Amino acid sequence: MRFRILGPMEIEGSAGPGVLHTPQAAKLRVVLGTLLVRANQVVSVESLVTELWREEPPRTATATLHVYVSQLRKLLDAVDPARGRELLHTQPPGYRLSLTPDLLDLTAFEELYRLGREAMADGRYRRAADLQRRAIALWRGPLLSDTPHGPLLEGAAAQLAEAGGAALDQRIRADLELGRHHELIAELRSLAAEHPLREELHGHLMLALYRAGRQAEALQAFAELRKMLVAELAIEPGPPLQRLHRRILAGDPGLLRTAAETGSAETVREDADGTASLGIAAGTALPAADPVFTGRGAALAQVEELLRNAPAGSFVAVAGQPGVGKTAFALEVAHRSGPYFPDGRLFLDLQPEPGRPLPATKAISTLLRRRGVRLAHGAGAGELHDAWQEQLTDRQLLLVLDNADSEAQLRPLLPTTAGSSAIVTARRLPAGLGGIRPVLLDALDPEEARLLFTAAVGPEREAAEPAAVRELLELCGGLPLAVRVAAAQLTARPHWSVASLVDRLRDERFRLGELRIGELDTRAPLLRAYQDARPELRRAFRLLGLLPAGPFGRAAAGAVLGLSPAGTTRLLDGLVDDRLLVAGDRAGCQLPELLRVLAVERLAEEESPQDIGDAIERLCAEYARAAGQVAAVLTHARPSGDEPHEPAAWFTRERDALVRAVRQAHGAGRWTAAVRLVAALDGHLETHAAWGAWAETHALALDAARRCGDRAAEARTLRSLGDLAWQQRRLEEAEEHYGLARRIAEETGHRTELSRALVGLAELRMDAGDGAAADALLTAALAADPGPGDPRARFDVLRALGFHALSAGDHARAHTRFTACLDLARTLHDRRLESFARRALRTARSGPGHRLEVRPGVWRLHERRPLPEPAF
Amino acid sequence: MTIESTAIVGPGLDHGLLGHATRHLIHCPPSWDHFLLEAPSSREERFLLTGDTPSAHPLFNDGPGHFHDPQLVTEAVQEIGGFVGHQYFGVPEDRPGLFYRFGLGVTEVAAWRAGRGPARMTTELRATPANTVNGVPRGMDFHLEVSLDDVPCATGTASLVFVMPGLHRRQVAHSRWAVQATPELADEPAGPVRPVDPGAVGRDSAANVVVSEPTQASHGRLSTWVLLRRDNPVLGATADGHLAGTLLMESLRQASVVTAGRAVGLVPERAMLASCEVHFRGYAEADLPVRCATVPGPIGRDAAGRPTVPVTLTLTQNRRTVAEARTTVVQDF
Repeated sequence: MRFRILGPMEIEGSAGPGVLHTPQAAKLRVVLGTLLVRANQVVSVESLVTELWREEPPRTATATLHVYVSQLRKLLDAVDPARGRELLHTQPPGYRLSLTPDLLDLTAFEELYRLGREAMADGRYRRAADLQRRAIALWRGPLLSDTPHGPLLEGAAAQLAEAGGAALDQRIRADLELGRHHELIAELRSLAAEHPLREELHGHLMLALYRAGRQAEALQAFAELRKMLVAELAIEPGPPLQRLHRRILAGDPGLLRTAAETGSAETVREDADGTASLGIAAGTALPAADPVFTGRGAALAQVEELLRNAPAGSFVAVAGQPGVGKTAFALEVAHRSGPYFPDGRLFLDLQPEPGRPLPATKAISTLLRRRGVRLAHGAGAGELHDAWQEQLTDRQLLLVLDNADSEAQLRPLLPTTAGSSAIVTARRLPAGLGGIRPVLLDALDPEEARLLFTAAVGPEREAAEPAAVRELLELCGGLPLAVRVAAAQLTARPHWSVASLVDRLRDERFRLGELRIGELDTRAPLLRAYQDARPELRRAFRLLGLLPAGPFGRAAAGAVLGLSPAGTTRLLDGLVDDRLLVAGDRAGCQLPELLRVLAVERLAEEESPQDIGDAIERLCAEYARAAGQVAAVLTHARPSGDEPHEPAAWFTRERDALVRAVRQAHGAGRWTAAVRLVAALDGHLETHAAWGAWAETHALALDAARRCGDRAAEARTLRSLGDLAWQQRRLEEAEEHYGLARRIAEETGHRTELSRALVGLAELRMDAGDGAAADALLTAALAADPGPGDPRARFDVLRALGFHALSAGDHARAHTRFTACLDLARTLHDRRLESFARRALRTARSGPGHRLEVRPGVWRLHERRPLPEPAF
Repeated sequence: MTIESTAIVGPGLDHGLLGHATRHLIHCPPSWDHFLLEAPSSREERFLLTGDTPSAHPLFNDGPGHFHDPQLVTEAVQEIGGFVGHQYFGVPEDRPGLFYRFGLGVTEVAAWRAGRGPARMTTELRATPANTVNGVPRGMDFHLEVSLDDVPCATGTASLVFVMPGLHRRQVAHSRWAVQATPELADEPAGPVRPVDPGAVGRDSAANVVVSEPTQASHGRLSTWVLLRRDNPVLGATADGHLAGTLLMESLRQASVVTAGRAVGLVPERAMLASCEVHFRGYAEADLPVRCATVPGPIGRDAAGRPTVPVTLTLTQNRRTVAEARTTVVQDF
């Protein structure tokens, strides 16, 4: 029994290839085709119904589907009476067709394609060409070309058409490496005509023509392609093709070199077996350098210098966060270092599949094979090691070992003798190995990111939307992978503006999902790095997502982690080692932008709301502590030693983080934490006149106080909102807030807030020139004075009384009041109030002008003389 | 720029305060040190000036009332510029602060449309000391950001110098002597001058008209005379015999509006200055006529499609330049 779907559907039964059992009914072919494309997977009834009738299923859709399935079972029974009926299972929520790989051409294709790619990566070009040729031969036409396609089959057809194209591309590449350029030219001409927009086919044709000595025709092929692209799409050929064009124009002899000629792989000797044989010594097996690689000038120079003067046994280890471009960097260095390694340069991916590192023996076998060395089957580790070291001895070889996993994996591969060297890329530095020369790659700076972006998409986008490009690169955090993805998206969708892409990326909940196109996926390597970390580091990483973008201090980190300073330092160091965190200067550490976005994602996915709420509460408590400490340092001039650095700049530096923490606490329903933090911020908000932050935090705190029934906090917050409105001269609003604060303070017997609210109301009356009303309110405020327990409230009453006396012309009384203020400020050890009281005393002596400092730092500007009669 | 030759516009405090409601000036110290110890600051300080726009100002509330007058901002900076220097930067009180450069650009014309009542105007000022000698700045630079009813609507810059009293006196005397010592450069109206119609400059009261009916020169240039209104406290002269800053600024506005009206027909009633850059180069003596020459540029449109006309202006007194300005008049319905 065989099923063939790579073309029209064909079902071959036990009677042999002469008898086909393909169903005549189209609907039946749809059901069977869908089950075959998803072989060994459950296809839901819903999917099958959509596949059959799209958006308009009949009322009897499910029943009809049952009939089709029943007919299919009969068909399968007829195809193979022995076991046909057993292949189709009913399994909620749908059906599953169980097939062994040999029964379906699709699975055979996928297996051949995979093996072909592996052979290609190993440099076994003859085998690669053979496997891909066999894979392509399975195609008889478009997928299920005789069957109507619903959404599922449409998607599968598009995906498999791409895979078919990739198999063809691999086969041609392998043939080119085998020196079969003459035979390829006709086929490539035909393919290029059939697929005029597939630039890689044109590139292969140009290369084949060049190698066949037909340089002019190669250039003509480029000119024709360019002409067509400009005429049809108004675009130039892509960077790889332009680079190839330049090399042909320059007559680059490197283009003529095939693997067969250099002998860098087993091209000619792969059939030799049984006995060890030495291959040709020289040869280079490096993937092409990234055509748009830009920047990193200083690091490139450093590594080139290290490689040129590498002592025996040393190697360069390139480390950095996922997606930072370690492999591209290593390849760029390797390509530039050719003259220093005349015996060849070899590249090996030590982790070709995520999570499955190559064992050292397998890695050595591959490297030996690329050098043309074949050992007897079953050679032991010692034998392999000796053969490899023999290859390195007295030669000048450069190894590029990509994605190193562990020191144990690397140790046997590294050269130990002078002349040869290695560039190793790894997320974690293999610091335990001797001879390591570490190079850490960071995200690109804004200018380097801009250069990479323009190299990838051309200069027009940047010229047209410079501000949007700047924001885009910031949203990508300067991470080369993300910049490349963004560039690829804009190239693939010319109708998108940069601003529209920026709009999609602004919401960090969707950013990583948006930064993906084709096989380029920004999230995947970041997620792998996260998943590779130890569980305690993963938890720490997630919780750090609660902190805002930018540098954060160890105290804030310790708060969200709920750990002691020592425990926090240990975890932060672990995250830095795993390249999930960047260690900063005194300002603290920082999550690279896209890793921070990942942390936010993981936090929501993996932490319970309870744990998140607890962490937010700890963070709020830490911020409140810091706010109090900074205020104490600034007003008392008494450094405690563990206050935040540069305390005078603390509030400005942390303002956004503080507002965010209040928002988080409110969002998590941690009312008390929100209320306490906002209370601690009161003085800072007032002194800095941070009106936006003041209004937002206090609106949240007021709601929180009401929700948790904290009446004292409600009165305090309302009074502070009154102060804000007073400062802004929204006098009606101020009156309303002070009035509400007064009422609640009276109801709850909160004398401090009652006193301060009455002072606020009195100042409003003074502002309006209503001395009698102000007098009554200040008398009430004095009566509500909580006494020596709260000198701050008493200071305010006396301050207002002083200005009230001053406005009434009673300078002596004003002097007395301000003297009392000065005494209280000294009791409070508050330099700010003390300084203010001294200035007020000077005013009492000299008399008020038209400018009066009525609260610390707030000047009331009055009219100085009456208005003249209007002249109109 | 040399202090001795360019500082000419006095603060005009008396005028600026007229008709204003009470306002708050708030100092937001980046560091509390100098504030606490009352030591002068040597770096940027931030201030907020907030309060309602005036509702009965004899000049700024005179007219059809379609817009709040952007001159309120320059008035405010004139009003508090010197005070900030004295109070927060340690400039001795006997050194008056004189402005020599202003720039203001309206970023949101719609926010300047006047409603029924006053709007709340907030001006953020970032003040930086300039040319500090022995810890005392000889000048100040201001960066301004203006909001009306919380809508950001203009940005600007201003620079002033603090002149030592003796130097100031000598400078005034020299200026007067220099103007009078060259009678061959005398420049006076050929005959009696007639003020333009108030409606042509966006005012209602004839008492507030400070430019004369212009005469046409070549290439669309206009020439007009600045009118000193001794009967109007807002548009008079200072105690030391110079034209007040408010008068000069208003004359530039009126000349711009007249020019835009005559050149391309912008309706004065609906015209306002969308931008204004002024550089004062010398004193304007109150007892000598001041000529204002204007050159309109080509009509354009702003981002919202409103017609705009750029105007270049030069104020001269006996052929000596008093001020140079570039303005943009916008028409908004």
